[in-house]
Amino acid sequence: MTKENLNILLVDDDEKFLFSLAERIKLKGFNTLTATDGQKAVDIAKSNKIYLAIIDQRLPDTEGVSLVAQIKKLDAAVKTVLLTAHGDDKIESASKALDTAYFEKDNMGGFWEFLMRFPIDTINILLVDDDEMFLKSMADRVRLKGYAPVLASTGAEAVSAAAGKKIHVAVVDHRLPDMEGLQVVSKLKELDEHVQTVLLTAYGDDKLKEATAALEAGYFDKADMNSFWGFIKNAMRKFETTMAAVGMAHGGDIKDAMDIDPNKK
Amino acid sequence: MENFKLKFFCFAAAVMTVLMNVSPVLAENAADIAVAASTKPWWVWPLILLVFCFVLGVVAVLAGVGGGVLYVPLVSGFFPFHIDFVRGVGLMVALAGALAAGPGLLRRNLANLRLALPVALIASTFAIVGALLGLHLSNLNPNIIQVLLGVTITGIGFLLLFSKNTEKPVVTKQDAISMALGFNGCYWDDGAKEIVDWKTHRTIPGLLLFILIGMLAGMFGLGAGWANVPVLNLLMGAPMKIAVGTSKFLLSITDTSAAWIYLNKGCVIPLIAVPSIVGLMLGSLVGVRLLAVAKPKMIRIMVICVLFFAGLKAIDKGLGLGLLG
Repeated sequence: MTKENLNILLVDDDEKFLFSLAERIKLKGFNTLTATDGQKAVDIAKSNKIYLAIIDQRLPDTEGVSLVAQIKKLDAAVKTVLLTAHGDDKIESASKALDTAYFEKDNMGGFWEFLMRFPIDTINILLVDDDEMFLKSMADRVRLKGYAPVLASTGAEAVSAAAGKKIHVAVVDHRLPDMEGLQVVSKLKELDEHVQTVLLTAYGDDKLKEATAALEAGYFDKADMNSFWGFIKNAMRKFETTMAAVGMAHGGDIKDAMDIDPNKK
Repeated sequence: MENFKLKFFCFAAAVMTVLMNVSPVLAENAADIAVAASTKPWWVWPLILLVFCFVLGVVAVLAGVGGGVLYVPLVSGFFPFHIDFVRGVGLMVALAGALAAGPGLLRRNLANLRLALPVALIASTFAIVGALLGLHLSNLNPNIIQVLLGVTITGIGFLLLFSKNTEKPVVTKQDAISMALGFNGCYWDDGAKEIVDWKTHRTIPGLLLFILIGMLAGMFGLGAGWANVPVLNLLMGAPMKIAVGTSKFLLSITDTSAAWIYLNKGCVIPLIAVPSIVGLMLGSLVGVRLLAVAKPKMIRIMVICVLFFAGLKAIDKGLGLGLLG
């Protein structure tokens, strides 16, 4: 599923805000549907598959929380966000009870960060490593890229996770407490021959590399990944950002240049 | 090996001597021109140029002006290089900065592609015309270009002195052409914590001015940020940050077209281009780090004064008056 196929329903009676929100979400690659009141929103939700609904709390004909409940009744899988300029603790608690994300309009930064993580459940990436810290950091990075991480710290956990859920990509550490990474890769391929697998190891050698290739799995050495490419990637990104800051400064926009500059303290 | 070094030094010295005196478009007559041998080693001018461009890079960032607009008048005024070489390298300098900044600006949604592409089509077409016209005039008499450059630089000085860009210009009604071309968008203003919608107006006068801007960019190798930003911001009503980001991105297209003409005519000499580009890029990287501690307003006024002087000096040189030395 691609972003273009995902409908995001936007409900707000402030047409200017609605238009600007829709434009920005479209720029992120999603398809948007808009409604200025609750009834229109329900009609749209009845005739379209909605992936995410972003709803203002104050609507002319209903309250945002009630509309969330109505939309969830139509399709329990719809993800919902309540956006309000007049929030309070009660509304926030009600949103939580409805499994709905809650953002205030004066903190749109948090909202955009939340949206950046979508679509989070379209591609499942199974991460298998007994190093908890490494697993957590990988999961955060995978989530930031917009994918859903599925975590396992042993081979058995990984196989059982793959048996219960469609896994698209599996990143497996070679040394696991109960079995070797190659065995896990082999079992995952038995469960689903289309699964893409990557073997990640800090103790690699040529034999292991060959065995990995035989299983049609990718192979990466942790040491290489963390040091060399990390350094190159960071240096390039930093240069690109600094030059963007230089570009803004050349045009006389010193404020934005200073905001962008990665070297600012 | 020693023999190779000697040959290379001789070649480099010959190139430096020739490029100080001979226009590339007169290359066929080069053999007939008596060239006084330079007494300095070949690497002196590239080294001076590297240091000079490094300082220029720092100052350009702090003053809020492009590298190209400072490079061409100052290097043509104070270095013994033919103006055609300086203009060719000026374009490469502006182009290098724009190409390096482009991806970061696009990623941050600061450069607007829909706004940039139609404008770039016009500006780059006329940048080619400008480059050809500039080289033709230089072929007739380099002093014509020198005087025109001086007039332009003085004009830029006035523009930088008097134009006050607006952060968020008010556009009450988007015109039909702007609407059809999709000259609108929105961005997140972190300071005001709001989404800012923007649109443009006065599209026809704006696009017509880009004909002139393209011509000037191609003719003098100045880059064109100094003109792009006021037209996009003050005339067409794009917000300051969008105007600046789009202008920089625009340069990467406009200057590429003109740069081909100069490259094709042999006006881009690596011995000038490499130290200039490296110096300016390194200077820019240092300059941006100094933004927080420097006083950009003061530096900008100083740079405007230098531009006035360089402009007047170019006119003086072109007219052969000798009033400014």
